[in-house]
Amino acid sequence: MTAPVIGNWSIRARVVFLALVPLLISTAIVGYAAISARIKDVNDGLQERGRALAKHLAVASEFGLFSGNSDQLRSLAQAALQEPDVQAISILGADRQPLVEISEGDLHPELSLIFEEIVAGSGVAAFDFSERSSASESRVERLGAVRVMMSRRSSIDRAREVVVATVLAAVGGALLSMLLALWVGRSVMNPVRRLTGMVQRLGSGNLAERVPSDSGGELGVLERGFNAMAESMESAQLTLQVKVEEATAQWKETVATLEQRNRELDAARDQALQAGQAKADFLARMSHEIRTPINAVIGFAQLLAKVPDATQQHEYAQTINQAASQLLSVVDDILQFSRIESGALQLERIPFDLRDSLEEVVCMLRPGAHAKHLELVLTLGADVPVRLVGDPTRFGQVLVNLVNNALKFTNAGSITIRVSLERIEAVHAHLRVVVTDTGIGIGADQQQYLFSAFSQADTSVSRRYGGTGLGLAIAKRLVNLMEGDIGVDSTEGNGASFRFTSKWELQSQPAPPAAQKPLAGHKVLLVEEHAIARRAMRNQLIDWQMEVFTAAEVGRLQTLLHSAGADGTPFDVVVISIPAALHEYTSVFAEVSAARDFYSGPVLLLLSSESCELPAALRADRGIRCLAKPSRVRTLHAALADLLGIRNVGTTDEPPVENASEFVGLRVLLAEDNDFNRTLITTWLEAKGVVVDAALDGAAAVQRALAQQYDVILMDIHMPVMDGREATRQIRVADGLSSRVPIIALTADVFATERGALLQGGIDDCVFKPVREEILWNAIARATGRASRVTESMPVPTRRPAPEPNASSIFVPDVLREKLPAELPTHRDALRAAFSAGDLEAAREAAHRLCGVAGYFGIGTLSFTANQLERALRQSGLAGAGTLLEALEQEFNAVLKSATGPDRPVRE
Amino acid sequence: MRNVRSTIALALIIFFSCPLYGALDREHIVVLLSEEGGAYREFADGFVSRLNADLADPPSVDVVPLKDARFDKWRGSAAPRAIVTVGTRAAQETYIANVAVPTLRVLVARAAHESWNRPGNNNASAIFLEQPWDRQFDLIKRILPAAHHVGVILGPASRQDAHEIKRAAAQRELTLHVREISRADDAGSAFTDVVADSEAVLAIPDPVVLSPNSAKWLLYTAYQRGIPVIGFSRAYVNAGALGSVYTTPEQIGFQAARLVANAMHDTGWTFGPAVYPEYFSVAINRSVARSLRLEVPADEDVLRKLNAPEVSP
Repeated sequence: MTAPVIGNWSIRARVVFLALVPLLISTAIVGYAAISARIKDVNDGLQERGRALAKHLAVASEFGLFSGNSDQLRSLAQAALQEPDVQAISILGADRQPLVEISEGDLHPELSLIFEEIVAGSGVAAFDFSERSSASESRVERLGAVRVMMSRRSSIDRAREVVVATVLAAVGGALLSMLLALWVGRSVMNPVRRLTGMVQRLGSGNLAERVPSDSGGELGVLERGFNAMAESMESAQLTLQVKVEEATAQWKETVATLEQRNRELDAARDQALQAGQAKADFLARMSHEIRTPINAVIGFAQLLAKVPDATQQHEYAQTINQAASQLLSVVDDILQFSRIESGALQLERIPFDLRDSLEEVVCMLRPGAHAKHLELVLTLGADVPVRLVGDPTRFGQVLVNLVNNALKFTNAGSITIRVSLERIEAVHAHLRVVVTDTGIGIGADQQQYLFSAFSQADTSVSRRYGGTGLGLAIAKRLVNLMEGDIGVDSTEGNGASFRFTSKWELQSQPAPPAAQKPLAGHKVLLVEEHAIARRAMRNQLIDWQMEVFTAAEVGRLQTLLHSAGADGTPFDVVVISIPAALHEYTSVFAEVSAARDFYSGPVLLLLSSESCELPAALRADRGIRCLAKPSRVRTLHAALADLLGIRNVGTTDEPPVENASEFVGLRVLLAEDNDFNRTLITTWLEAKGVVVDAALDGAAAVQRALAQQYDVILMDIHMPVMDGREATRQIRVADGLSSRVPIIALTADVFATERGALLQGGIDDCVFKPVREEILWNAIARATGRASRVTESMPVPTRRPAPEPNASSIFVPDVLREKLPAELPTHRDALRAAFSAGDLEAAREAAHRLCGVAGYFGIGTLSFTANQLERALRQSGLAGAGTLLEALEQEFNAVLKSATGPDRPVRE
Repeated sequence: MRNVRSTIALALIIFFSCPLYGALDREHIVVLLSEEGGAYREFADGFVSRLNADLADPPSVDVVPLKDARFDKWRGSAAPRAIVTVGTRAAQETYIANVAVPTLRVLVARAAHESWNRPGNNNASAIFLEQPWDRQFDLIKRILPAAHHVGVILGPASRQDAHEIKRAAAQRELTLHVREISRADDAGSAFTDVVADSEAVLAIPDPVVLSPNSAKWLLYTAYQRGIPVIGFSRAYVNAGALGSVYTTPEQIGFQAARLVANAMHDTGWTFGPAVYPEYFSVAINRSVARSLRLEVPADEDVLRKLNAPEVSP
């Protein structure tokens, strides 16, 4: 109970309590003890004195009692009575009768102490013999007694004095102690109160609070300690505040970073989703892109077989050719992208003329621009080096992609190709090519996906404009291979400007001597509505040192010609570029015709048309020539020279015509076990006058190769008895180093590793199945060194009005096509048997054959699935290929079903 | 057969009669001690040694403590030739046992000896414990030649000697101041009275007069007046008396041996009348003498002048 009560006390009360209570208790105890001791001492002293007096009186009274001398006894009693506190003395005889009795004052027995002492005689030894002496000496002789009465009054008085004095001393001491305790308590409490106040103020947040540290001892230490603590707290608070602010800033930064990351993650997720969507879209698009031309090919091929009219047949053949080309481009895109992605594509490094490459692209794409009435302009900076070393094909491919893209998305206006020099580093030149169109433009949100694979800015766009969406992705990767960058600037609705840079090695050979300037000094009037084209051509004409006058409108032609004629300085020649936007040139031709009235000089018309068809009036005028624009510089120069009557300066831009008789008499060994392939390839080869020997397996091939000299051996890799690798190895062993016959492998393995393995095994070149004729011819040409490059993009002239072979729609002789329903089940059965027998190698072989056969017939999905199955068998064995086998069966059934219906296209 | 039995009986008689013969041949006496040790043993030792030294055929001596006494066997033929009782109690018990054997009492007060004599029985003799009065007054004369008044306090036991005392004092020209008391309580006043009149006080060993306490107060009273007290024992001299003549137990043993020898050879085992101690010694307290400023001769001189007989070795 006490502890909680004390717990509520102030320190001062505790100090006073602590100082007083023990003191009072101890004082009371000590006072009690002292009083008791003093009273006891007084009483003991009284008793001691009484006993001593009685004893002394007894001894002194011995003789008086012995002798009965009362006087002596009385005098003794009188003397004793003089002692303090002695009130009465009695001396008794042996019979206890009082002999002497004296007292002083009134007797108060209740206030007295009585001491009695026996008086006994003490004898001496008077006899020599114990018997006699003991009888008398053993007897104690009692003479009497002495009685002393001591008064306790003085003792009581003395005790009272002691009590009073002690109590007074204790009370005085207690009062003094209380005063001291209060003083000490105050001296303790004041600093404590100050400290308490300080703590309360510190607690309320006033950390600047301090107390004066003027106390001594521990309180001084405490005050200094509190001040130090307050300073520490203040400092710590400041530090904490700074840290909190820092932490808050860091937190905000972290949150911002996290938000940024989240946004990036969201973007990445969206990108991934979009990529997935893009792939799905891509597949759908591919399906559409491939099916459309195939359907066209099939449909027109069927029509072709039905119509007897040769003209109609030719038209259908053209249509089929276009569809096949379209299909070819699609498949080319895919294959090329795959090759780039797998790292198989290597840039060539050959010397070339940049202007030629550019003009080749322009000329190639020019019809497209003409068809859409678009102005196609090429400008080449005067400082741009044109003699470069590199891969002009890939450069052209990038440019074709960009221009094709521009053509695709531009419905009106122009497409400008600007080529400029960024910088020259030692033997390298960095070029910048910008393709600007006035098309629909690209939104900023779509630009980021432009160069990604399987992506088009807008799927609806792709629906409308077609294409795989791989063009820009391929362009970007090719540009990267050329150590350059590609990008786009565009705003939606305001056209687009694609740009890319590329690094080229400068040719070390000196430039040929400057050509003559046969056109120098001739005065020319250039009428060109398109400013850039006008400037480009003007620069070119100036470069030929002609005297150039330009006009932007045809309407001013007559005025200018008239005024020039009037001035006596007529123009030597007039170049009129007819705007591409014009759908018909009647007004222009009328202007020209009218001008002929006062200008009879030569006129060069630049038309947006490949066919230079002029009205009869103008066609009859020999001073008027026309060219498709934009034309090659050399063509323009030749045309102007011709018009001006300058000879021996002409140039030609006609493409090299393939020499069809080049392969005549070539001896080729074809090792191929598959009837379809063997028949197809033999047909192609014999059509060009090649002498073909066939071998059905590797062993026969080796046998023939050793027996006879061939110019080329076409070696299928997968063959029974002996495969192509082993056959090649044996032929190579037999060859020796002297006469090495070129061996071209025919394989469906499109992987770089497979190709590398074949090349290491003695193969010189690979042609991948399904075999395309022109690729095969190119390969043969490379192997034999007999012919130049066969352009892939150009239609190859054929001797028969049959569809041209391309990637997916290969020309298959009718005799083979009829065998398709019978042939396919054979391979399927072989595949099933291999699976049933658990023969992995046989299964692979069957899948490989099926892949080849399906490829030849253009059954892409079946070929693809068969190829997948073959890969799965190679990687995972029979167990991992079950699903694919089922998928293959389904494809198989669908194909057979389709093949039985002759009027229906083969289903993909 | 009959002869054999006679021979054996004769042999047995001879055998058992030999000790008896020996006893008959040698005198046998008993020394009966009141207590073992102390003065009694000193007496016995002195007695036996002196007896053996003085006699060619000393009797056999049985020293028997009183607690072992067989008074019933000391009768008839088994009785000793004589009994020497040492101390008051031995004498008293022997008297009570009424043994019909010549008895010599030693270390016994004259009054006691005389109180135990039966009529017709003179077999008991004694050597008194007290010194003869002449010898004591001679001592006073030798060591206090200036003293003429001698005080004496007599009690019931010593009252009978009053005449003899007076005679001895008178022979030596001393004035005797006698005070007789009957009760011990009167001793104090008697002392005061006697001391007041005397130049020396002769202490009498009367039980009523001198208890250990009164002996002290006698010395106290006398010295309050500067008067010397002549004592009767060595112990009293040590307690404060100026001087005394006394006989040691050994000296009494010598004297008793002489009396026994005499009785055995000359008197047919009769001891004759009782006598005072023949041999004695002198004791003087020199401190007291100095306190009282007295010139006292040397102990040997005093003894010689008292004509004390010497004990022959």
